[in-house]
Amino acid sequence: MSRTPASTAAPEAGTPIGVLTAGVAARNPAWIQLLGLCPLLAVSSSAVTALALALASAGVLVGSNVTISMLRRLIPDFARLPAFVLIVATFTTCAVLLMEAYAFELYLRIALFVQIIVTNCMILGRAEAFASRRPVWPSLLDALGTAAGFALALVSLGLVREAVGRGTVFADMDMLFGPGAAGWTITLPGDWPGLLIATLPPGAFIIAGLLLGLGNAAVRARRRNAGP
Amino acid sequence: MSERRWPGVLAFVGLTAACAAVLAGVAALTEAPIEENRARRFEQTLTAVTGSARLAADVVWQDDLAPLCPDRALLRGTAAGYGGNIVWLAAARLGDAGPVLERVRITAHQETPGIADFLDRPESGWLAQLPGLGSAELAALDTVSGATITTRALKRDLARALARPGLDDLACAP
Repeated sequence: MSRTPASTAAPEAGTPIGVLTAGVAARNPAWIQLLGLCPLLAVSSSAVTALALALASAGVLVGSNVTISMLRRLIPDFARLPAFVLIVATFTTCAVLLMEAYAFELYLRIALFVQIIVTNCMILGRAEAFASRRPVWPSLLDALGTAAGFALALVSLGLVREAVGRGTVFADMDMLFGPGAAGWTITLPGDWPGLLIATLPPGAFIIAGLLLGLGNAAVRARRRNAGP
Repeated sequence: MSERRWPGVLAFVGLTAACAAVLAGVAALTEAPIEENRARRFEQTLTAVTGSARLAADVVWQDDLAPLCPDRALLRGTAAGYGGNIVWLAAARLGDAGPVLERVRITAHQETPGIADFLDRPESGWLAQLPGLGSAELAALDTVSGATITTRALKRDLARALARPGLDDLACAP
């Protein structure tokens, strides 16, 4: 299933560390496989919304991967896709309810994109390709690695867009971490007025494209250094 | 259906029941805080519309109208928008020349995100031009291109509410 050439999967693919790191780097869901781009582009206008969606996605991914792995012998093969979607939808609905109850301001801003986690092909992909065939422990590691990779992509995009668009980073963190986090905002030095387009959808495409290009260049350089 | 599929079907039905049970549990757990959040948000909107801090319990609704003494009234209504109902709350000033809108807030809607985002920004854009308008001026107001159904539904419902016969002689409770 993995589209990554074997040469880039540096740690042995079968080891726990290999499973964990593959999701972050070699098989990063967003930057390498280009999965889950809809929420990625829509919610990454600031670091706090990006982090919130990353946490919600991580919860759904870990929960569904572990559940599917536990039930893999019970789930009939002919109904496995409906069963996976059912499990993912259950976890997504739980995430939405918990968010509306305990992070209401954030819920008002990104609720729509938390709801569509259910259609995120990154999650269904891990269920089908990994969790439905492996024991619980590797499936948990796989989910954690993939979630970390998605979070890395989301938060890096959110940070760059927030910095370029508004001249701050980590603003409004109190929506996620309570009143104590209200002072986490870092205003960038210099009187940067903010470039509005970075926070708007076209800016998401442009900055995501630039970051993707940067990542590709880094991967290519590493491969060149590693020798032919 | 072949005999061999029945265990699988039963497993699927069991899974569905388990998922429903989990959801029911989480829903029961989060019901109280969600209600509290929604009530607090409604009171914030109420304060924004009336211009002073107000509790939902202090407003005595009668047929979607409530007096705001001495010469104002609170109105609420539901317009049939493009994606579903648009629920609005407004304060109106009652005068000799007929009631005019003072402040309007949208409390709930399912309009297209990105297209009808102006519904969530009462201080700017289309909603910001509503204060000061009476029923007749509302009818003449331009709609937003791209959100014609949304804005037309809203201005018709606001105009309907302002033209209601009961509005002018709304009794002011002491």
